[in-house]
Amino acid sequence: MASNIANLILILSILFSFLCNLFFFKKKNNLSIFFFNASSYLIILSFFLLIYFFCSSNFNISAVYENSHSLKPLFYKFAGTWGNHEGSLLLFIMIVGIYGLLFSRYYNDDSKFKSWVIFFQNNIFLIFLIFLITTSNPFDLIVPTPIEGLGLNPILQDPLLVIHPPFLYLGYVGFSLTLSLVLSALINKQLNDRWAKICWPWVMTSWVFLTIGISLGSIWAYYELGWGGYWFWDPVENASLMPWLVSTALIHSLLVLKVRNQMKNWTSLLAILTFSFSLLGTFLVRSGILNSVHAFANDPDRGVFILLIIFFITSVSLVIQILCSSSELKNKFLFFSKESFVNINNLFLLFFLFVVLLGTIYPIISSIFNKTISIGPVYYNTILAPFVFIFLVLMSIGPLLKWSQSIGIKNLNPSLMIFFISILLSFLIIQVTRQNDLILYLGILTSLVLIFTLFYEIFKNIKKGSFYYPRLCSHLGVGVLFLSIFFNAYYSKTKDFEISMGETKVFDKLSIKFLKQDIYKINNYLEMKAEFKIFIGEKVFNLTPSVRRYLQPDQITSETSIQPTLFSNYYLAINFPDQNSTTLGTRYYYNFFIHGIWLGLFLIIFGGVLSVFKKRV
Amino acid sequence: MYLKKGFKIFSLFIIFIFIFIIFYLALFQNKKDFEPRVMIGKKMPNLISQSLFDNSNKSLDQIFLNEILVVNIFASWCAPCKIEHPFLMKLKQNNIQIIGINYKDNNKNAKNFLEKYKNPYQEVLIDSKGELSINLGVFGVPETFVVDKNFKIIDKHIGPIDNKFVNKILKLK
Repeated sequence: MASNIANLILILSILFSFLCNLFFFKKKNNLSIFFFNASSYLIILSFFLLIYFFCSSNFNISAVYENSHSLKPLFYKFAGTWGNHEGSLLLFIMIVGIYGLLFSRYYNDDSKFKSWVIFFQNNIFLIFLIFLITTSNPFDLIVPTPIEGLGLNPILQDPLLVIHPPFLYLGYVGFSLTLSLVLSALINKQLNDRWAKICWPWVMTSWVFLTIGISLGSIWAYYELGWGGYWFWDPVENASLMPWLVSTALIHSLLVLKVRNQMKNWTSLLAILTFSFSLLGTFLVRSGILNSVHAFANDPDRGVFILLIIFFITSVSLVIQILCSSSELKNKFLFFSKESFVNINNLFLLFFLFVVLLGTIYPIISSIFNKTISIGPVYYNTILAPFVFIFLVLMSIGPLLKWSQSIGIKNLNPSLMIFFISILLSFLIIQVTRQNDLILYLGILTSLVLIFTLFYEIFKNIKKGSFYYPRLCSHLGVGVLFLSIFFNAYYSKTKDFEISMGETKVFDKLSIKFLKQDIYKINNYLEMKAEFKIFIGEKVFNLTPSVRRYLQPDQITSETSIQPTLFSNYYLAINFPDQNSTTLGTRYYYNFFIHGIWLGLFLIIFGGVLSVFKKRV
Repeated sequence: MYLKKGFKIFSLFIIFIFIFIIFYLALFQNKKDFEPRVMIGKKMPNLISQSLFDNSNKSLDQIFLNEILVVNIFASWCAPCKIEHPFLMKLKQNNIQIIGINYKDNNKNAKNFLEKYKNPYQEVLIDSKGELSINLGVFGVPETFVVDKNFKIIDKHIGPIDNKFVNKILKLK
């Protein structure tokens, strides 16, 4: 019964979506938009139905049976709705619909343009809806009803992880609207500064959500995985980083289009690529092509389907782009102008993208030839580091320049001052901490140049009384982020050791004493809690990391214990003890300046939020 | 001008087809790697549980008589179990001993299932809480284990068994 109603809703929704296309071709724009809206509302309804089925543990429904369990706490039953392939696909489609709904609600200027946008949005919606119904219908019925569900994946039972995927999806999927906007503009020959203004808040919204999603994932990895790091260059992390890099490039070229009415073809290309990379991200995570902590669904047939969808959407978009692109005159601008620096910024971001893309798909290509290789942080760090330095310096200079004007020599003085101060300060830091390393030196230097330049700009703005905070805030975030990354990479300490009860391990100024361990049985897991006393110079404190062994399915998760200071963390994690050994594998990390990384991310996001709401003068 | 655009589109498709083939091959390449082979070569635990037919406690070593034994995990609510059912019957006709583990099921439904589709099992052990299956590292239902007379697991199959798997077992006999 329940399943029938839900299926009926899905089918009606497909029907309405077809009607939207039909009326669009008959030039009945209002009706077409009406049916798209109706179809979206139906999908929203069906998603709420699925939530209800999950919360009430209705094991009649296949998605619920496979991914839920009556013993799960209610909150995780609720979150289980999107913790699986079928539910997350429905969420994906719902968000495509919601973005369309919001656009049709808030954009009322040009009804022809609007109906084109809704038409494209509707077709993205429709493609995924067909995919859902044919290969992964969450409402499939199971007869007779199983008495218990299968799913209790404990590693996913974490509040951060519950909100992380929806944010990522709000980002990824938001770019579907960007794609619809750009395709409509290309066909109607409206790709200009006015269009860029319409587009801006939508692009920024998606970008903000994507950034939040990535940050949450990183924070989760740090607190929950117990390996002391915040970014592992895991293929799935890369999958979310790639659309972020393209969309960041898009934001900057969109700015040029908005202000100078230039870089049209380039902007439209980036807009298409952004959504393609978002889909690629979804594909990498959902198809099981990667061996990774995130690879949940291991069904190659679905993978082929997603792959076909990606190639279909991308090739149709690119063909439209090629056919309708304006024969724009070669953009002419002076080298020392804002435009040319945005161009350079774009090239750098695309270079980063290329490096990440290569590192992510190279193992996939080599797996065809039966060679298993994995590409680690060394590859990324070595290749990216030198370019990051140049990128940061250019990022300090670029915004100081004027649109299509060469800079006067006079204006360069403050920059030279800042450069000089930064050289001295970073040299001082290196000397005091006795870490003589060129990479670290250049890292600190270039981050400081960026940070000081921004402070100088903020100071100048306040004096002038004119404010443009979003860019300053986000760029400051980037400066703080990179400074913290370099600090963290060079000043953190790691100790990996085996310790038995009552023993004290001594390393230079640090000593760690293993006080006691307790084992509890809680609901569906065994928890082993260990207590340690840490002495660092004058400082003494206790840390109590634990590990949990879930019984069903048999899985071990780690709960780290952290003593925070203003910027840094003392971090302790333990391994699950072997039955026969008397010692406990323990990992100690001193994570220097880790809070700086969170602060940087927060500033980047906050700047993005400001720019959604603030109209640029 | 149009020639240039045509060339662009042409090269676009060439590149796309190339990338598509790579991803396509990789997808199916990985499928083989994903079947967990962890239990193979290990000793089969001596499963003890209530029998579905006469409610007495039975253990595997009481039942095991022949050269090889097939242990099949099934449930009445599991659709793929219906798909593999004819293959189990084929094994039975070839005198292969099959023990069923009835996974998280209602006894009445399980009996109905066996009545309706015929019973391929010599014995069915009840596993209403899924505890037996956990010892076997079961992934989901159906799943099938092949055990030799030294109680060593020599093969396993996740998902419904097929003709290929049946022939493999028959060769072992």
